[in-house]
Amino acid sequence: MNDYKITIAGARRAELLFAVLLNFLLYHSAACTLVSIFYEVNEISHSIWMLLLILPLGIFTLSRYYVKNFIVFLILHMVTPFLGILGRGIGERLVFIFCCIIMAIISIGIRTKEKWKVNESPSLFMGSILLLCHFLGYYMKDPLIVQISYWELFLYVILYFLHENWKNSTDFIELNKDMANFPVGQITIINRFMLLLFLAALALGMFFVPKLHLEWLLMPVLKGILLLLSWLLSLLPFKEASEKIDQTTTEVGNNDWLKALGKSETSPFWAVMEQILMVVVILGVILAIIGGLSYILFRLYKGYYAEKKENTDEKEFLMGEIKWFPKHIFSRKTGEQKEKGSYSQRIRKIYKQYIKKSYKKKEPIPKTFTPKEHLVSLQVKQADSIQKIYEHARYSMEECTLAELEELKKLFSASARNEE
Amino acid sequence: MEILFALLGAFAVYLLQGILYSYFWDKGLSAEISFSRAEIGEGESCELKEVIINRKLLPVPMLHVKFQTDKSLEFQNEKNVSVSDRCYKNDIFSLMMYQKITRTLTFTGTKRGLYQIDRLDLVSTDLFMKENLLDSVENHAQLLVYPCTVDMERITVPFKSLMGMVLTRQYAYEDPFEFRGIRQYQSYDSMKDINWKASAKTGEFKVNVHDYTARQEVVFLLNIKDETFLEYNNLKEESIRLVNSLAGLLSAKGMPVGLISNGKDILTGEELVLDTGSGRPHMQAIREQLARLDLKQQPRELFEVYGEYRKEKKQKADSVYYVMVSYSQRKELYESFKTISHKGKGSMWILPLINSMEQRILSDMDITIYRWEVPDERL
Repeated sequence: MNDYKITIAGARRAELLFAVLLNFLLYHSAACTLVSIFYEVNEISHSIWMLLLILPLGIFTLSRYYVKNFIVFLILHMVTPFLGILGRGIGERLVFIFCCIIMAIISIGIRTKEKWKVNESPSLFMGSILLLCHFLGYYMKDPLIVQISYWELFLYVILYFLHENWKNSTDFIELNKDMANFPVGQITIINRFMLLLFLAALALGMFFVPKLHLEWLLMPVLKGILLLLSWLLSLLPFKEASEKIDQTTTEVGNNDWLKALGKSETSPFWAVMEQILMVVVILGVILAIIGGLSYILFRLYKGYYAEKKENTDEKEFLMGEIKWFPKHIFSRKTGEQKEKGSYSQRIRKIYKQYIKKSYKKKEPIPKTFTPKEHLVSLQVKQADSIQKIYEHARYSMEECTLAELEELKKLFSASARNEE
Repeated sequence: MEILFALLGAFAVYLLQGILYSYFWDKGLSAEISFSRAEIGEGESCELKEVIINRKLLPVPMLHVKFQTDKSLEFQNEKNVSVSDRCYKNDIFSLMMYQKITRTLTFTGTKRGLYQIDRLDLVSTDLFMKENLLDSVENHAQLLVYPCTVDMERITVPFKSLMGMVLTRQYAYEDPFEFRGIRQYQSYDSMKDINWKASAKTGEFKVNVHDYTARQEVVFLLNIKDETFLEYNNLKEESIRLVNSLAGLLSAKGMPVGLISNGKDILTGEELVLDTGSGRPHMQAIREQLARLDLKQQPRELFEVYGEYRKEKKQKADSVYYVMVSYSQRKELYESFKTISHKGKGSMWILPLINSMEQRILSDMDITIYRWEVPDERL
């Protein structure tokens, strides 16, 4: 039961971390978009500085869970937005403070709600904020906002599914933790393994589907919708809006809308920072995937071969049914199931193998020899004990015991060491 | 525009995993439940094995296996069990690709009967545990729980009385072809009965003892029809145990034993009628039939069943010793039993009653009545 508590507590912390990251992505995109309004030339430095929004988000989250005193909690929420004064310009300061105020209000709201009503993570629908930032970026012709919001939406979708699966599996484990023989370890491992595969497929899907350039399928539909909208607006006194939509329709038709916007100019320092950031992110993702897979495989291996079982179930891999899979990797041998046959049969088999091995290949094995004569001719140590055990296995009506089998193995291995 | 296609790609992958799981989760998935033994005695423990196999590359992260049994099978670990009108069991498994899991559960058969597990319900989910995926598989697990025996110390008295009555009614004529044993020569023995070889070996005269031309048979009449609208299942169960115990003891002594009951078999729906016989296979058959007796089916009158049996067998009444086991003391039942007792020149009636119940029928020349006290379940 304590193991379950540790597992659930750890999973809940990870769940909270994902929720914080999801919220951070939303705030960061929105903040970067707002900041770009204040500056004529939007530099990458603003976006990198806005990464500090993780600080107030972390402070508010931790204070919700660990600060019991409500006064202290409130003070923290009132003071933290003032971190914004560390901003380099009026724009950064204002946006930072504004985001902190929004965070503080939401945080206080969460704290005052009943626990069962609280959902730390944003819904998938909230990802439309990122979509909005992306389109605003296009509207403002700001390539930085377009790129940031694009990649953050990419991350948001992946994190959302990760969080969703994590939360549901943890809820399931918590609900059923009192059940007997509950395979919590295996459920967790398989779930994580499949989740990792899913996220990899998701990332590939989100990366490669745009490369297919399916817009040629959607373009006529989009154009049609825009034309309909323009016509409807022309009927009403919104002629300006109608003309603008017509202009957009032409642009869409010319595919100008699809062309990537050029990069903005920035200082060398921030350009290097941008490259470093990109490398760090890519490396981080690769390491996370490899590390995750390796950890999961390690847990699978350890769980399968470990002596300590999480329940009394007997598990067996049917590797013989997969013809291309080498059987010996998962041919688990536990305790008494090492070989087939009764103890007497195994004793006779071991004795026979030893005798065959001991006689050199060129020497014929004398067929008329008794066990004693074999052992004497091979000059085996403790021949009497070996002979006794073998004859008991060979001729007795009674079945041999595990102790005799183990004893015989020890005697043979001791004899082999002496020969060396 | 790329962003929209990226979202489209994400949505497609999400849908794909849902479709993958909904179509393929139960392919190559087999579940089977079996009992480690085909029959056990009342109060004995047994094991139930659940074997789940996943023969495909798609793992099943979570699988509920649900089934129901009679609540008379008490599982040792009751955390996964919900007991109301029946016993509802729910186990959770998690299967990797090409994996077989065997789970063994211990239970106790607290009541005699035939227990079957015909169906298993499998419930799984997709990766995000949003949708429930259901399947139902057939299963053919069956366990027979034999009735236990009653307290041997208490049964000794009626048994000895029964044996005494049966043996005294053996025929006087010996069958010269049926050899029973050798004993010391007595003055009343005929010379032709002397076994000369045995006499030479021992130095004393020894005579052969032969078996009788016709052996006394014992037929149990088990009545499970209630006297009134009140049902006394505990008394009926005790009656079944009494028959089981006495039949076992008589059979061990080499006495042919038969059984007629108005109780119906749970599988065939027919009344329990077994011809007289002896030996272990016959005793096994009696125990099996008693285990399969279904008290829920409405029984006919006992002597209607008996009448049909007599017509078919045309058995001589005087070669059979009848033992009635019935808590019901209805007048019609008593009169009918008295008639056959008189023809057979004597019989026995064992009355399993609760302490508070009145015994209305008494022993007479034809019927010897034994009252068998049964503890009141309500206390």
